[in-house]
Amino acid sequence: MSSPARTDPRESERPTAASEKECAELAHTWRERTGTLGLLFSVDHKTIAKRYIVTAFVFFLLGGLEAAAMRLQLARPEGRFLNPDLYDQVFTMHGTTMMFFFAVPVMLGIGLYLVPLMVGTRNVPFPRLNAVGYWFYLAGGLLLYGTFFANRGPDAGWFAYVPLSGNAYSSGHGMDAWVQIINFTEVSALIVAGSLIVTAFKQRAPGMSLDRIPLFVWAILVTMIMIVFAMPAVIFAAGSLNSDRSLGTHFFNPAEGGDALLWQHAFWFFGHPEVYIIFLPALGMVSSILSAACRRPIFGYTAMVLALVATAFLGFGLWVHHMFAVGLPQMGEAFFTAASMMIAIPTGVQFFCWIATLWGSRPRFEPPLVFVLGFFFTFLIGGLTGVMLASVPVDLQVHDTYFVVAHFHYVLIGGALFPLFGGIYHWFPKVTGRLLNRTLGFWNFALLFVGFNLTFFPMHELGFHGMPRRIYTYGPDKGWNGLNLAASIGAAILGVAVLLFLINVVHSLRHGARAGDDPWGAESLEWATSSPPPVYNFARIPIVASRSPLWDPEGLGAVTGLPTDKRLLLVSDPLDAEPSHREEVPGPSVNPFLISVTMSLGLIGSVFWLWWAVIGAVASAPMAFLWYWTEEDR
Amino acid sequence: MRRVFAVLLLPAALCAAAGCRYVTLDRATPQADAITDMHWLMFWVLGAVFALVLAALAIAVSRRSRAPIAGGKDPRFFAVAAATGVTCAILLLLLVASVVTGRAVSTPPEANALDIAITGHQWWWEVRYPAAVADDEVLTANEIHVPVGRSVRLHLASTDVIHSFWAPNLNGKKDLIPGRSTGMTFRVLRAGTYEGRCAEFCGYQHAHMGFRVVAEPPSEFEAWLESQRLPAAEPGDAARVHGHEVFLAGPCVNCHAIRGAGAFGRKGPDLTHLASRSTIAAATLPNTTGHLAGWIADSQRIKPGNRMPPNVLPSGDLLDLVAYLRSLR
Amino acid sequence: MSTLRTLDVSELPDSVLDSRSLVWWGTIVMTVVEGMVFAISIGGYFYLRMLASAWPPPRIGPPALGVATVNLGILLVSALPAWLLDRAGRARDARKVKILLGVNLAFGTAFLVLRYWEFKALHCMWNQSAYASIQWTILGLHTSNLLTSLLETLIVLIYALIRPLEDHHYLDARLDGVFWYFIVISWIPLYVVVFLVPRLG
Repeated sequence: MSSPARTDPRESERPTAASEKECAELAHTWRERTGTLGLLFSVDHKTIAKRYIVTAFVFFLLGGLEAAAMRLQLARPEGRFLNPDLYDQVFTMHGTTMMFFFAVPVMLGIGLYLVPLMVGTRNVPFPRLNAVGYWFYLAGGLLLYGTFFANRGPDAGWFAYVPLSGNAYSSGHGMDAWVQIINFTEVSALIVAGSLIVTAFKQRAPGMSLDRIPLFVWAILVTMIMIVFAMPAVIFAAGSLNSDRSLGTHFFNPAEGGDALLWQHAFWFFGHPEVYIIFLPALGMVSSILSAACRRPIFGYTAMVLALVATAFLGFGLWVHHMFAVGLPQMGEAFFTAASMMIAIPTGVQFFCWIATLWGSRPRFEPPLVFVLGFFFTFLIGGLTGVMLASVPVDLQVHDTYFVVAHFHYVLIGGALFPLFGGIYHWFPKVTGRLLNRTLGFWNFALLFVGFNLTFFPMHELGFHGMPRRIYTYGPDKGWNGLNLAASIGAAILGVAVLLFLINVVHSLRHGARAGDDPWGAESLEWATSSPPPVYNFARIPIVASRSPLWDPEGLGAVTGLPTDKRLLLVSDPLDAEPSHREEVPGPSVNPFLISVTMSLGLIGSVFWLWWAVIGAVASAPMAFLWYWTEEDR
Repeated sequence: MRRVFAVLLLPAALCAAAGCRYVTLDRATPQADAITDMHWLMFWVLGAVFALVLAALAIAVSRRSRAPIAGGKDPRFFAVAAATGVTCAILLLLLVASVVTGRAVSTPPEANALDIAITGHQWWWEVRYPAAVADDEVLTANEIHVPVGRSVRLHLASTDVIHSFWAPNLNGKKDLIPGRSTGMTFRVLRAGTYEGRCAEFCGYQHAHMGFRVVAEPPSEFEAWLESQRLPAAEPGDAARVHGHEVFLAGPCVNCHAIRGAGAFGRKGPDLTHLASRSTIAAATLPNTTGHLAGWIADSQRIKPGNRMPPNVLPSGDLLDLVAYLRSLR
Repeated sequence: MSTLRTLDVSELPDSVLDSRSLVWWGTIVMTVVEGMVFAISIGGYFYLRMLASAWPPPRIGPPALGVATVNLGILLVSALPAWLLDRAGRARDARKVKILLGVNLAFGTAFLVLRYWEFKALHCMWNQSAYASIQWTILGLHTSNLLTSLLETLIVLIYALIRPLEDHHYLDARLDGVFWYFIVISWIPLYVVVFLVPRLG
């Protein structure tokens, strides 16, 4: 089957085209600084988004190496590859890296790239603040891996239960660093969340009323709102653990009125929404990919939007299901069982609407669709084991065993990673101007699917056979040998799948088939400009009249009269996208980098000596001054 | 598509190959029974859901004709609404079943329940049978004896970090949380020795923090309890006397107690009746002369990071010490 | 190609000084985040209180009310110059904006200074018990918001004194006022929680 690229309309034939002179002016007005030093000045959302995505994938590889190390150790009983100290660091690093440094940032990056394009605007509203977000993320990662490579990494698990993670049982800088990296990643997420919430509400193209917003944008919007309400809980938890460890507070010390369970409540109040923060953008990607593959809009738009909102709401009411073994009152348990089961309903609605979309549509079997089908299979299993875990008596047997490890990998890899790969195959042509290789893509999927299931399906079994989580080795007579070996072999296959993906990316960047504006014939606005888009996104801001603007027989309209000599965004009404005014946004500057350096030094330093926090704050104040002063330099 | 279906068979094959020794589902108490029944209900119901959804997906993807959207409501609307309704009904059924099972699992113990206090330490289990008279109290470690057919009420606490008590054949798990007391009740119906382990990550040797539950006929249980109440056996021969001296002279007494033999340490397991236990080192090693000697000489090689330092002893001393400890029935 | 629908936006204003502005929305998002941090802290406070047999621990005793109540009064009164600053910004009155930024800064500084005695009124150091820890945390979180607001006011004031003001500076002045409203309004429940709830026993 040949690549379904549409004939690339020449720049001048696009509905949103403008004269060459206008485009040159726009390119000049919105230009970024060039050169290596110029990298420190970037404020374009696409540049920063690509940084997030690439950095996130670096962490993905590191997290994968940690997983490989664990599987090597557990491939046979009484393995000697990792001693318990190192093993504990490795599994902590694996969880922390994947959850905080890969899964959330990659979704943030993809949202940051696509949302401004999908709503028809030129950049996010606070470009310099956006830059700070990325530097903070990077700083957090450097801190984390700095301690790990010094063999002083955190080792109390990615959710760091007290008292184990407190001073008495985890002295040393590992856990001090861990509580700090929470600050870095959570501030970074909040910055992107604020940017995208305002973008989605206030910068939509004229005509894009609320009921015409692409489902992907809805998914990101709902996710960003979840971030706003969930991150504060982990700020409180990590901050309290930090102060218990370094200032002698007693939040978690039962001898002085504190409580070990306060940590669990505070952390999981964040931790459960966190997984939906990872999952919801993936659901948005599935909608985008399916509508393009089926060449029809997703069935049940309103139900889909309500399902996203319902999932987000319910996601905040489930956290105690991580704590069923602590001895809660039965009434409370029943409530959280009910909520944890109920959340299957909106996800179910989405599944049914997608199946209805596919029904009879004869979809095009390209890699994005195949990954989405893989998502259906794997996430379904994960979701169903989730319903099993929602039942307290069943949970009390399989909690903290490999059954749970299987469950959450099925929902995270099935629910987020498969759609993510599909999304990358789908949007790679838009970002780079080249298509990823199709054959490699199918092999990528096949190996990922087989490797994943071989690794994680046996773990359900292992949980029933009594194998707890987080053990660095096991005895030869427990009956766990064969299943562990199978899982480790599966992990090796997974590694090959990821390698294939990397090869595909590297190869296609140079030699991939060139993609036009809209190789898939998709419906949303990001496909209405060149691949890759110019720095100003659209020569003319589009006007839309339907939910699927690129399929609208009337075609796209275009906004005129928006000056090209200043960095102006068109701002509109949040409900019906009527334009209200134009607002200027700042251009490239090194101030975001500078203030990130001072604040990061303060936070990183405070791991070793508390007063660094004050030094960092004091050093950041003049940076703030400088920033405000130079806001004029557009 | 065919590739996908072929892969579906793989897990089933794996299951068969593994021999299916479902420890969790090998129940010995009414509590474990109720949980296993709930599990199988969920397995079959949700398995059916899985099959149906995948079937619908397969048909959707392969179906050739586009559904015509005639006047009136799109038929897909009814399909989605019906599927959602069925989903709600199934979840309601499972919710009710879960609550009912939860009630069954936590029925209050009978009047003559046996109370046992379990305290978690890094990385061993302190087991205490409280009694009205102080002399009748039994203190042991890592091995719990219970009478068959009688309710057992466990009182769980921890002195350091969070642990979790889990004997899969007997009941679900319950956490041991410093500063809080938790509990669990079960009634064993079948005599036997059941494995248990810690199920909440608690540090370096979380992997080797196991225990044994020995369920025996009531008369045998009472006999065991009686023997545990007695002070330590007197060393019977010269070697054991010397071993006793080695014990008292060395660092052992800092952590371990042997009632009636002059050792009162509480940081480590009570050793008064060490030889009556089937395992040592929190169910990590069988309780034999060789293993015990190896453990005493260098426990760090077996459980690196645990709290017991290596003991470099002349081999004669070590053998006598082991002989003495092996006599403490 | 069919006739292109167009929309001419050349007559639209280049700046607005009200809630239509992107920066306004960004500020609101930030206050929601901060508000949520306060809400979670209050949740933690009541959780610890629920577990405690006595709140506060008898050896610490409830906080003294004198300074805190005076400071609450100062804060409530400071809403007036904040409101006037808001109005001056909307009217693009450079002189009034500069004066009121200064007045706001003065009130904020007075509040900050008295905040020191509010900490002392807790009668405990943060490391004496869980009660002490959460009290210091809540007071500390509000204080850090206060410091951020004062820094922001200072920056805008210095700029206003040295360079001519444009529309987006008037917007910043207004938003300074809006953030001050947040400081004031959020303090009311926090004052109740920190200073009055321990007297409930």
